[in-house]
Amino acid sequence: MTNKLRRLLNPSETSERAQHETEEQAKAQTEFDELFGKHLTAMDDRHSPVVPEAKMFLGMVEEQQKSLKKKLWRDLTLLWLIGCFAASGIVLLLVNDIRWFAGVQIATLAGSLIFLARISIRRVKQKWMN
Amino acid sequence: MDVNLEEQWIAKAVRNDPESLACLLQHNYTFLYKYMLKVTMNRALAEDLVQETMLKAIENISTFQRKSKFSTWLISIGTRLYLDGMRKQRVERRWQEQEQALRSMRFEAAMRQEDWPDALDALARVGYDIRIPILLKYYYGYAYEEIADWLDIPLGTVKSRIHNGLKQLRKELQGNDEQAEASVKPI
Repeated sequence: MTNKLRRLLNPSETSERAQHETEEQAKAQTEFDELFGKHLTAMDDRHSPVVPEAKMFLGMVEEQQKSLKKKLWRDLTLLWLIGCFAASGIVLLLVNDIRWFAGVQIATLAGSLIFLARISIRRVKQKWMN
Repeated sequence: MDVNLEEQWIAKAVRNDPESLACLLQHNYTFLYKYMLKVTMNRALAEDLVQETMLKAIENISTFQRKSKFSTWLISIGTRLYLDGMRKQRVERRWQEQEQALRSMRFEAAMRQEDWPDALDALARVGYDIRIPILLKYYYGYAYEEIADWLDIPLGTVKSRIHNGLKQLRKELQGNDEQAEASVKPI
């Protein structure tokens, strides 16, 4: 019998387990607070950093945004160049040999479907693990 | 800080307003630094990670969905950056750097005529994969699910790491206490 089914058939066992887990967590929290709490708080108090001025943060934000915009344009240009190259190749193939053209189209489609399937499988797996 | 003010900053920052984003980053600087310092137990590394986290936050601010607090979002980025860095580093080098950083923290405490407690020593010596979930759970009060998501590990692994890690720390601190008592006992 799976755990899920057992829980459905016996809800009192589930609530007992949940209560036990909560008690264990509270105990662990108290223990952590006793062992480390005050030391970590003291460490926080001792190591307060010197916060830079707002001007410095503004400079950092503007500079980073500028460099990101530059990178975006560079990537876009590269993408268009590669796209143009690929499209002209495909047109050339279509003019010369329709069978090769169909083969390349099918391979590209299959490749993208496999890629998408792998991504969604990984996502489902991760969700299931948690 | 006023929650409404932060909300206003977030709303403007997501719409690409540099001044609001700068205000948000400035107001969360101390919190982020203190978190990174506890996670890394290394001042220099904590400073570097704070800067890297802020740059990443600037890059991805438009994707911030406002489901959590801005500070929570920042520490999730910082944690991921730290973990990525640690995974890339060789174990031996990682250990050496950690030892060196710990020595310098102890030295600084001694210079200020302060104690460097065994508890912090034990926390620094335990692996980062244990220290981070323990701090996030018990010091910052995040849920297991959030921690699992940030560390990219299953929920069960987070729970067992926290449980076993705390047990390991308890044992280590008890060992330290017994050693201290034995050294004090008269012969």
